[in-house]
Amino acid sequence: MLKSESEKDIQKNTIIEPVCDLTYLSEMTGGKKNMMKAIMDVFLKQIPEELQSITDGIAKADYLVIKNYSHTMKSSVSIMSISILIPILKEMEDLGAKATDLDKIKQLNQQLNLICNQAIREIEKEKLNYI
Amino acid sequence: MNHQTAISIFIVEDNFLYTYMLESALKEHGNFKVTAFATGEECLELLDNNPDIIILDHLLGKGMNGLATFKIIHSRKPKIPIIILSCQTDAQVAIDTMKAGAYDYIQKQNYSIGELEKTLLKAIRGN
Repeated sequence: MLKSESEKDIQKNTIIEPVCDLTYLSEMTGGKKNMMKAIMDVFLKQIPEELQSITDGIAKADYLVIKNYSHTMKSSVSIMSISILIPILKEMEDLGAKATDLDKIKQLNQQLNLICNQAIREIEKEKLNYI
Repeated sequence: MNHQTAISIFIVEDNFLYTYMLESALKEHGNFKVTAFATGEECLELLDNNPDIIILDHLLGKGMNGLATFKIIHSRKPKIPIIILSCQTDAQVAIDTMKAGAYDYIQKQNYSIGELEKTLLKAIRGN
């Protein structure tokens, strides 16, 4: 099966293409910059906390934590339309629900962190346009 | 129902970022008074305030899950329309909840604030 450029990049631990798309956020906020910036601020605070919770859950083999935070992160990343993360989070959530394959979860978590860190950099950069 | 006053909406969603975005968008877009809850239990405590409509995440991470919350709300307040929120990958669960009596379901990221407002108003008017 052919992989998209983004999927190939993830395997190489690099992402070249932007992962965020602010069209949805802009539409929901009517393009109001102060509101968009406020939501970006919450995103920048919340995403690292969610990533840490999943990493802690993996360290403790706490599948319930992995499942719950993988699920809630789908909502978080959907706001910035980071669609590349949805199948990754869905797989982590499913594995968490089945309480199985911690090695696969760890591998997915690496991809998750890589993409989220890029998303954070993109949003931090974008936020400068909203001040 | 006189909606010269603000329309009262309860949002039950455990993701603070999503709630914040939705609450901000609704308040900006229309005459909505939004009360947000992170758990089903918190919502049930204030259910007798009789909101005009409830937006409920079908999968709540903490405490009672969305489906259980839905069933209790629907049995106690059958006239209050409930809109189910789901992720892109959870459509079937949301559809099942709708079959159990929810007014409608919306997939996160797949709706505009204008579409949401139309759905809310239609549900409140009872058609």
